[in-house]
Amino acid sequence: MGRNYETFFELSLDMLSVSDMRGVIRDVNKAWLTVTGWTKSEVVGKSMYEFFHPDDIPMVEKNMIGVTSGKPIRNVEIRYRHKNGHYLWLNCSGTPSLDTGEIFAVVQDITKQRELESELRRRETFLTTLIDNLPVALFCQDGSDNLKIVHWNKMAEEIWGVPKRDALGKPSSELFERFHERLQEADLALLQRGEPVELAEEPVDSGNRGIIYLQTKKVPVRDEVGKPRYLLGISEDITDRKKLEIERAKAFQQARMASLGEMASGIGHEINNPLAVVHGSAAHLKTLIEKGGAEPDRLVSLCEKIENTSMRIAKIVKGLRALAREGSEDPLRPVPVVSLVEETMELCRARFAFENIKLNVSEIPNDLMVDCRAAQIPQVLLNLLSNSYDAVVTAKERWVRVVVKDRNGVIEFAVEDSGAGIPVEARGRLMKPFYTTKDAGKGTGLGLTISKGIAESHGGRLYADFEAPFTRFVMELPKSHGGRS
Amino acid sequence: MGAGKRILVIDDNPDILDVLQSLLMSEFAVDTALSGEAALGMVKTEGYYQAILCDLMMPGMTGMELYSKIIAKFPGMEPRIIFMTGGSPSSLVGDFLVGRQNRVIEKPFEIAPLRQLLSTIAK
Repeated sequence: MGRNYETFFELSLDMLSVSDMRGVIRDVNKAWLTVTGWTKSEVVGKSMYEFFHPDDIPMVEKNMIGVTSGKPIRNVEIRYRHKNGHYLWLNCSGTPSLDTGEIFAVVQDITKQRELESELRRRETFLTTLIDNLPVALFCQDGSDNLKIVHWNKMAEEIWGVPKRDALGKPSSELFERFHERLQEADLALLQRGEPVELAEEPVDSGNRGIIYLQTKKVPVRDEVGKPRYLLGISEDITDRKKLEIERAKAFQQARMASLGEMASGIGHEINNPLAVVHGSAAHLKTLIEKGGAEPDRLVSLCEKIENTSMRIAKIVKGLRALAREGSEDPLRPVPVVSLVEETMELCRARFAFENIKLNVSEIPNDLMVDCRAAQIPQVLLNLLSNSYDAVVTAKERWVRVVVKDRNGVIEFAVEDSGAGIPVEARGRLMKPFYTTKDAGKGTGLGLTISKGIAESHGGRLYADFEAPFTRFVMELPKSHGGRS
Repeated sequence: MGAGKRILVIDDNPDILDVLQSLLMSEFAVDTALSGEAALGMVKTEGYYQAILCDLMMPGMTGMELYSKIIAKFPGMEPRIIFMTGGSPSSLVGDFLVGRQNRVIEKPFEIAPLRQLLSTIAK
């Protein structure tokens, strides 16, 4: 080699090597040594095969077959042992010279590139596994190509009953046409707008699962220049959740009716007694008038008794009507606390009295108001009182009291009783739906759940006060500052 | 005034007592009691009251307890006791009435049949 070529050989940034036809190294350049870590004396005279990864040797041997007949080697990727033991990925191209019996090779270090590629492959496998195993159906449409399906996961296969191999490459309109009309137009518009959209839940006749309810979100994906590229669809099968919601609503309604029914018999007594008074007074009045000569004062007093007693019945009926209404859609209005409590008391006094349970209510100032849905608050109080009733009815000491306090803008309704208290293991679960400590068939396990919901929808809260020396449940509601007061 | 026919009315609601007394006093000598406890002391001998009209559901001693106490002392009183009820809030009441011959009057009541019933029993 002339001097210029030698310099060129040494200074080349590419790795260069010269070997004989069997692969014994004759010469390598500086770049080659720098990358591989070896010194020239350590490699010259040795066979290249000593440095190759054993798994790659058969592949190299195959490529070497042609060199003796002058066939060049192009872009063979092999693993080559660095001096410190690890392997480098090298891309080798070589040309044999039949005159000198040598192979002149240009080698590139592609280790970084290979690592990047395998990292990419790992990520892709990870993502594919993730997407395939998501409990939601995920599909992706190519926005620039007729909305063709480019991703279709396992749940999508299951929900729409179409295997991945049949779905990929098909325009979505073809796949979904039995569910939607004009889907493609809608999807294209969505893609143009570029904002994710939650579609309304919809019943879908899935092949395998029958009628199911789907909730779908569509997310446009833009490329790096902001052009809408893909439309991602995520569909969740919400059938079970929907069924549960319906069941739950039913159970809640039943629980409300059950507590109402419990009260109804007590209310019968509360109404029939005053009715007997009204009826009897009227009968008496009639007799007195027929006989003639009765004192006007006596007649007036009987009429007054009829009036007053009728109003009492009206009050009970009003309380009952308020209770029977669901009322969750009513607007919040300022209502005197005293009337909320009194209305509730009317409905359960008889029941408590009959079991000899002392039922007391604290003094409540007339001007104390809360903003509430007047149909709902007595439901909560009645539920708490009903729980207290059940807790004390078999106890030796039997009292229940309602204590109302104004604590800095918060009205506290406490229902306290002489029951055995709440077992420690029940404390964390008291407000959970369907949890009950009552005997089978007695409690629905929904009373406190519903009550808590009502209190919270009023911006208040409901809790059990475990610090108190007796059983104590507290409902807090924000005090009203507006309204009639 | 009731010629020697003495009846006892027991109810925890004073208005009911008032009304019944006014309506029945033309035919009977009507005594009233606001509780079972008070009534018990008033039934002194078996023949003292010809009829007893008793509310079933009262705080304290219930009509059922009062009934048991009276007939334990005076077994002959059993058919003379009539019950009043404003509806039965407790299954106890239902169980109590099963198999008993006593008449039960539902509130509110018509006064004429009640008068007649009392007259029949108080004979």
